[in-house]
Amino acid sequence: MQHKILVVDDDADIRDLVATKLESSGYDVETAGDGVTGLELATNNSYSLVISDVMMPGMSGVDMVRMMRAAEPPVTVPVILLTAKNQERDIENGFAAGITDYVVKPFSPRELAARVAGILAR
Amino acid sequence: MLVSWDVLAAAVVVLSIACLLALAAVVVVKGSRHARERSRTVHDAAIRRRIMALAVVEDAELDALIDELSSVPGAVGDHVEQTLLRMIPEVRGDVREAMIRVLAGRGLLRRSLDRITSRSPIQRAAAAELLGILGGREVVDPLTAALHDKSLEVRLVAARALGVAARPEAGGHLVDALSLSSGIPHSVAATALLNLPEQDPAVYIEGLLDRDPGIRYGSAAVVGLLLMSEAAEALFQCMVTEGGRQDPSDVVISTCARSLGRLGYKPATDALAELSCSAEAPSSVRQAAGEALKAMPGSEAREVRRRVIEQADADVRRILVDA
Amino acid sequence: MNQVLEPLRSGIQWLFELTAYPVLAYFIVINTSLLLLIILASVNFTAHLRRQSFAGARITAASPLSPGISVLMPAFNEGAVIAASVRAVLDLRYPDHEVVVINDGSSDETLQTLIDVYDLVEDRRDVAIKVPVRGKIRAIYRARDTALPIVVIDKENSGRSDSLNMGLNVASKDLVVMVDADSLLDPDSLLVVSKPFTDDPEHVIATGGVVRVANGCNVVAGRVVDVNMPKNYYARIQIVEYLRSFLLGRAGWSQLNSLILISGAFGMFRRDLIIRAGGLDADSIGEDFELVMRLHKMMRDEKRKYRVIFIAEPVCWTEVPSTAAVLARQRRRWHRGLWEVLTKYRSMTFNPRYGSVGMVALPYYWIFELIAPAIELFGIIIVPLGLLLGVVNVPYALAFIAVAYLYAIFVSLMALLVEEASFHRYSRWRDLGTALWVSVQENIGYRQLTAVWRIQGWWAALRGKKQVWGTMTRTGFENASQ
Repeated sequence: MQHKILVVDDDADIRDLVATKLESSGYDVETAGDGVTGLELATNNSYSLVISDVMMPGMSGVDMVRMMRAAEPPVTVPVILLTAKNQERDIENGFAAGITDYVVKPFSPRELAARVAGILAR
Repeated sequence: MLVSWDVLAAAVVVLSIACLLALAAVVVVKGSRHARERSRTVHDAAIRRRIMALAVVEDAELDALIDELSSVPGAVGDHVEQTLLRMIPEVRGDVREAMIRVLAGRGLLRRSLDRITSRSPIQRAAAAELLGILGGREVVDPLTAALHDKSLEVRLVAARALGVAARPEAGGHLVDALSLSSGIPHSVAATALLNLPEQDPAVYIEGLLDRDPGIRYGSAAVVGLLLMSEAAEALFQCMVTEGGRQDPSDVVISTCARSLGRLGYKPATDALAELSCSAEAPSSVRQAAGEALKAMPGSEAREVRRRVIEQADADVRRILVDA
Repeated sequence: MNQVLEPLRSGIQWLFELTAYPVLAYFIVINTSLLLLIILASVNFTAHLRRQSFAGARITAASPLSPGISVLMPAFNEGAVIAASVRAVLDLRYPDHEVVVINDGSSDETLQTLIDVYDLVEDRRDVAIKVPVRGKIRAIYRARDTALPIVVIDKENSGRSDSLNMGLNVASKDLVVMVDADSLLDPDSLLVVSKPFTDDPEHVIATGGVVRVANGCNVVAGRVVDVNMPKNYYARIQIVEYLRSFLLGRAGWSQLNSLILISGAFGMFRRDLIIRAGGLDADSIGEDFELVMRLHKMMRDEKRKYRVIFIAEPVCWTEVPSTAAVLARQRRRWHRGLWEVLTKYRSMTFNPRYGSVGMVALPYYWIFELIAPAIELFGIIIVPLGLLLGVVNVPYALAFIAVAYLYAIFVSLMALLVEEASFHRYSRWRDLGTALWVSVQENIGYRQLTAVWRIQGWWAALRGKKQVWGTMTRTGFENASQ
């Protein structure tokens, strides 16, 4: 089965970079530019994985995950959070909200792709 | 007498013309901005996929792509540079290296090396920032030279850029930049130091003895945040001797205390307890000592905390009750 | 009949002859000084924008050595928004900040909401009182999860200033910023407003962020996502008004290093200095203005080098009054505060010891802020009277009014130009059209109304009437964004 991945980031450059990298690894990628759209897409589609930035205008990545998990029925898709350097609080909040893993920016797209493969293999 | 009709009429005419000119200016500024945005979208469409491909292709194909992006001319070429400069701070690894190779291939490194000696301080600061992003051994000398620039702004940007470039050779220069006479805020220089790899604790042990309080502060902060336990004893000595100096610095004492807490240096426990209750020390120092005590591990420290809570002021008590 | 009218007519004639030139001159001078401030502001903006690329915000955001910030948020009956406001502050991009909520004796569910949402537990520790306060503390709460940097003080009702003073006692970071529970902050606001403190820690004592109009903007989860012009008449006019006098005027003063008024909605201060100055004056109606004046006086008296800096970058959005009644209350209060502070610090005015603050800024506020509505009102009454009694003819009166208002429109246009060249938050052509129309429209009706309200506020201050706190009726952002 072809895995479908959702990438949520307000920074179009990073969004496209991640999407390009994942597409080249053979995944179907959809993107969203903010948390609200991301939440809507994640609720109405079945993705194998969501990758989200934390800091976004409107809904933050952590809030998005929190609302996904609190939805009825809950959206249980694995989430990788992209966090900024030295923002341990985001990581704590992220795990409290139910993320699967995190990657610290500046990040290596190659490493991110490896983590994605690891999570999808489980 | 009343204002003459002529004066009024002239004023109305002049003001009307001024209003129309201002209106025209607003429209022109807005129009040209919209036009710029449109052309940016066009440039972006032309080249975006190729830029993103830097994260995907490998080996010979990558070399070819880097050459291709390096030789994109004109406005689209400028767009390539802007996009890469925005992206580089967000990524690391192979992609970052590929992106930097494109920028170097476009002559950005050479241009920045020229511009860092330009006459305009704004140009120099912009060049310093770019050099930091581009990194590598060849940016260290021009950037450390810029730490002595006559414009404070350039010095500040250069200090930050050295932190971004993260070359170990810059360490000694950044320690010097901590001195009060450099004018660079010490938190900025110390933040840059935190970013450098392969640091030698001996530099900071020496820094803790320096005559300049800025250098003592920076050394104390770095030693604590980078967990250099080799320097703990020197840090402790620095905190103790600071109080006896002719012109002791509260900031140095507070920073030493916090770093001792971070290192969990047990021999300092009693001194910190004393400091946190000291009537002579200002409240910022007492609170820093309290925070350090709170971080101290072991049962002995717990006993000391219990004792301190009895005597300390309310602010210190707030900190310690948490522990 | 004529016997009554004739003396009145000659009286008006006399008044006209006496005042025509001075009033006209006043109009020209007030607008010219505004224009000068705008020119200074554009110098300030150009410098700011050219430096933006090397702002170092990313590095400050990640540095453990960045100065800590306590965000003080007084809350009186904010149950509807408080949880989202606190969440928005906690989520701000900054390496070391805490939020201190001061529940000012709310009668609604403000406190309970906070306790439930953030899992607060009572904190039995005592507080060192460094700034005297009036309202008695009922309890202090903190999060059970000690990693969550939130402190909630529950105290008896004693007003905004006293609540903020209580917050100062509990705050533990080096910098404090005061925000209102209903203010909407951009994610980078703390980084932007604290930047001068990081770059020049020796001299910067206070920074003020710009406040912009949130009405009409699209707001999601406590953040402004899309900037729009509001439909409401009053809110629209205030956008141009804020751009002109708040944003541009203050940037100009900052360039002169004599900024004496920092917006209370987003001002950042060094905690040690504000405590040494004694906190906010709970009796003052213009407490934010009063505080900044006190800091100026303290620093100048001690002959220390210092800077108060205005940050032009829009980072804080607030809902402005959208009905005449609420707007009237706000303007009366502002003018009353202005009068109180100016008279309190009158000894600094024209006093060379206080440098540009005493010699330029304060006189400007006396002549052009305080007295302006009186002159305006005088014009409103005298011109129609003159027309009615035939002292002046219609074209003459129109030309007279045109000179005054055309200049005002010109200044508004220049403000729009600077905004367009710098931050251009109103990106659509339609927004520009609205702004242009509003610049004209505000001169008919709005100006005169605000002049009357300001005079009323002044009058109330002179009669020493007890201060009345206007409660703001909020329409809610959900409605505004639809």
